[in-house]
Amino acid sequence: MNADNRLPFRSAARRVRTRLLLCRWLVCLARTALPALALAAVAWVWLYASGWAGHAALSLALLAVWLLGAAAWAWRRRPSPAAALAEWDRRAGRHEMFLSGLCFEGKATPAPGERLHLNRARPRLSAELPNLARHVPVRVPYQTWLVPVGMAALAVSGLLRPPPPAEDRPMPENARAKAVREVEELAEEADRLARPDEEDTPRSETLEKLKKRLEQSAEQLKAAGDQTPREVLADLEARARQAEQLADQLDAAAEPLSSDMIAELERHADTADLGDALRAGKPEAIAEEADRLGNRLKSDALTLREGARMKNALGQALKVAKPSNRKSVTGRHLRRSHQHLQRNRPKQAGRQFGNLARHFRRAARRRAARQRLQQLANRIRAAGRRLFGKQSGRLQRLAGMPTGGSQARPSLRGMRPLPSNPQGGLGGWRPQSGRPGRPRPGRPRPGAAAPVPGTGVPAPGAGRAPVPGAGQCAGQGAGQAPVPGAGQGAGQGAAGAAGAMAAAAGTGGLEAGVGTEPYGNIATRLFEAATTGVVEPGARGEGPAEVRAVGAGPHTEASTRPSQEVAMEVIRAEEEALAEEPIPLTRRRQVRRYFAALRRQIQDER
Amino acid sequence: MNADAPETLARRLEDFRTRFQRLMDEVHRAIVGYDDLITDCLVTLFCQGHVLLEGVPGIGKTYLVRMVAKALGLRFGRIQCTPDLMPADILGTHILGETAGGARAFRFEKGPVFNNIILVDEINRATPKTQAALLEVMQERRVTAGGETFDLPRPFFVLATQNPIEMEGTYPLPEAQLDRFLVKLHVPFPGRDELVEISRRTTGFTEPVVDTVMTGEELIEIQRLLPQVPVADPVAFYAAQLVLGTHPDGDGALEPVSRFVAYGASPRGLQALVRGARTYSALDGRTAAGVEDVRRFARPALRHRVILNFEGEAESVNVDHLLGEIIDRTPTPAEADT
Repeated sequence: MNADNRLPFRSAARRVRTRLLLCRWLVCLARTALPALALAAVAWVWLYASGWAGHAALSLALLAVWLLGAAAWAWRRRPSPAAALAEWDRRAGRHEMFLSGLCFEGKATPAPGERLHLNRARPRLSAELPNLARHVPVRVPYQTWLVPVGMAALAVSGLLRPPPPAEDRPMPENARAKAVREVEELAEEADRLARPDEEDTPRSETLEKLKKRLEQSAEQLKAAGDQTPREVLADLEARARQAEQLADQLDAAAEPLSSDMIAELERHADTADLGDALRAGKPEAIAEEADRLGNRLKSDALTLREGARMKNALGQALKVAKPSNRKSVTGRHLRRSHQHLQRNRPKQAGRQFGNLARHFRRAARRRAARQRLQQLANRIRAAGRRLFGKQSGRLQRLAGMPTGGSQARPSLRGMRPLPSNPQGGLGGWRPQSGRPGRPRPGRPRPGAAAPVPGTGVPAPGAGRAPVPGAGQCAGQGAGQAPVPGAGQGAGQGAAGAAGAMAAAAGTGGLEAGVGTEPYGNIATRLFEAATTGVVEPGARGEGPAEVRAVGAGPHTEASTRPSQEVAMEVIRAEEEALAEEPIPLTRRRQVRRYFAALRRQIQDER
Repeated sequence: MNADAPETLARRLEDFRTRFQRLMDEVHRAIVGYDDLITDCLVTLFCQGHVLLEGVPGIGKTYLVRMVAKALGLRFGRIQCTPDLMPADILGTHILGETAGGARAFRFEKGPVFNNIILVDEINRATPKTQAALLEVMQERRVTAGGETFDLPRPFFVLATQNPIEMEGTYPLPEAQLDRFLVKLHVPFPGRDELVEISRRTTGFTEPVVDTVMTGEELIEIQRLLPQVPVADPVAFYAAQLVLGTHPDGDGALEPVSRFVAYGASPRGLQALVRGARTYSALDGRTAAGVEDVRRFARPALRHRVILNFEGEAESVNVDHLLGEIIDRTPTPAEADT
């Protein structure tokens, strides 16, 4: 006797499960038909734009992914045998008859009730199995057919495509040899960056990967003969972007500290130099100051008073620090140092300053490595130009890359285009001119608009000055007009910070030295003291403060009743009270006389 | 003949169905309408459970119980609960009497609980002390007094009634004691046609005559038969899932349950569900309980076991609606796949 005869419910459950799986697959196909069609349309547009001729292959691949994806989803959500039989019972209205049969038939010694159920359910199962297709129908929804039709249309559209332009044809032999040479040189450059003398450069493994990819690019160029200039340029551009991303990662290690914390450090004599260095943001200076403080703390000549002063200074600085600053590397070292000082362990506190100095030395080396990586990116792009000469601009556009390298990033699209820089691929953007979206509050950068104190007019030759005839930027009005009454330094700082913000937001302006503006062309706007004004101190980036003048005129308060009348009423009430009070007889006359005298005096005044 | 043989079992189940139908017909000779109520009531009796009937006065609760007792040929006892009713009034007490020889001795005078079917009218008017004594008897099915233990007659059923509108001077049953009742049945107000029929039947000179169609022994035999109706594991899991669904702190509790319910149903609720499902499937002529049987018995078996919190009481949340939502959203064996 085979297993199907002995366990009919189990074999029936398998059949039902397969059928339900098929149903779910078809349902999934129908539900995903429209998204799949949309994907096919996107693929068609991409093929059209890229010029790749693999319409048939892509349509087949998409079709396969759609079918297999839906099958995987249906398989993942396949019902268990019991659930499959329960579903069949539900559709046929059998009150879990076969489901119960499936559960009872697996038992070694079924109870009488279970045997009775099996005796009744087995013949019913044999009778119902032919009706399975009626109870669990497998229908192909009409949406399912749309996708194969769409994919076929995609495949056919490839036949109607015109032949590729000349620049998309395989690269000639001499051009390929030239490209190989260039890429090998770039690989050497990357190799130089990843040498052991750069041991402190972080992410050296990433540099190693960049070097390897450049070497692979050279090998591929040597090996493959059918690469087009577009592909070579795209490959070089990808490497250049990789180098830029790495440079960005190196720069991302910088950690801004709150001005309150720095100001607190500057306020104390022992830590003033360290605070100045932190504010200046020069890693070498910070490291030097941290070393000096560390040596002083580690010195045997450290007096108790000096230690107490340091402890107080660090404690005050940490108290005003923001939570993010406390978690930063500087904050952590300062906090640990403070803790050591609290426990009267100045040498350990000094070691923390030593660690801080090492950290900032590493940051300095990281900054240098970043500059070298940016130079490498520029060289990669320049190599593309050298390879293809005058055609490079057109080919770069075809390859979908910006002609100016990193200066064509989305955040800088609001800037007006500059004349191309003959020095290299950097174009109008230099690292020293500040990065878009990351203004440094409190430190006006070179090239930012600097108004002349008291005039509100940018100094001649200032980088962010508006170009005559080009209209005024949105951010300039608020930033360049100093507020009367505010100090000169504050006005300068406000204007500088606002100018820097306007430049960072990309709302207008040109590079330093390009625009010109004569003196006194923009009059200082009158500021009415009676209204509400906004002062933007900006010196330390605390944000705008509101100044409001509120006027209040004198006013009179007049009583509606004369004071004498009120006094008479009070006296009358007290005289009436006297009659009820137990005043000694000997004093009663005297008290009455007192009130009578008062009454007379008030009546005379009236 | 082997009593455990499937054929014997099938014949006995068929016999049960016939008798149940005759019982229904007999009760319907006296009671107009209330098909579902009478079915639920009889199913509970066959499940060896006690019934709590809730309804406004004058809609035939007491009469229904009396007619059921008469059709079953059981001794009927009635206790009208009042605040001064004492435990000894329902259980019995020792009284001083004379023996055959003329000597004086205490003898135990049995109370009204020593009957097969007890109607406890307006149970919520009895004091907690009396309620506790009665509900202990319901669980233990024996009375202990003065060091003596007396077994109650078998079968033993308690059908208690309570009035939901007159709450002055009542002592609502605590949750632990409500749990002793297998089901709580709402007695609805009769419809127009039923009222007309009631007027025809009950305003004449003769009262309807109800014959006895089943003895107590036969009833006990059926009670022993019904547990043999099997319940498949997925159906039992479904019943357990329903009970867990009434708990506000359970995994995947519904939002209204989490919000309005203080305590969910106890394992006694699950027992009630499974016993009721067995009986309903046997009545339907099937040989195994199904999900529909569990669903059908869910509201009577769980409604008094779901305790609302303060917010639920304040919002006048209907427990039946809450249970309906739980029943609708609990995945059946067909839905609980993968």
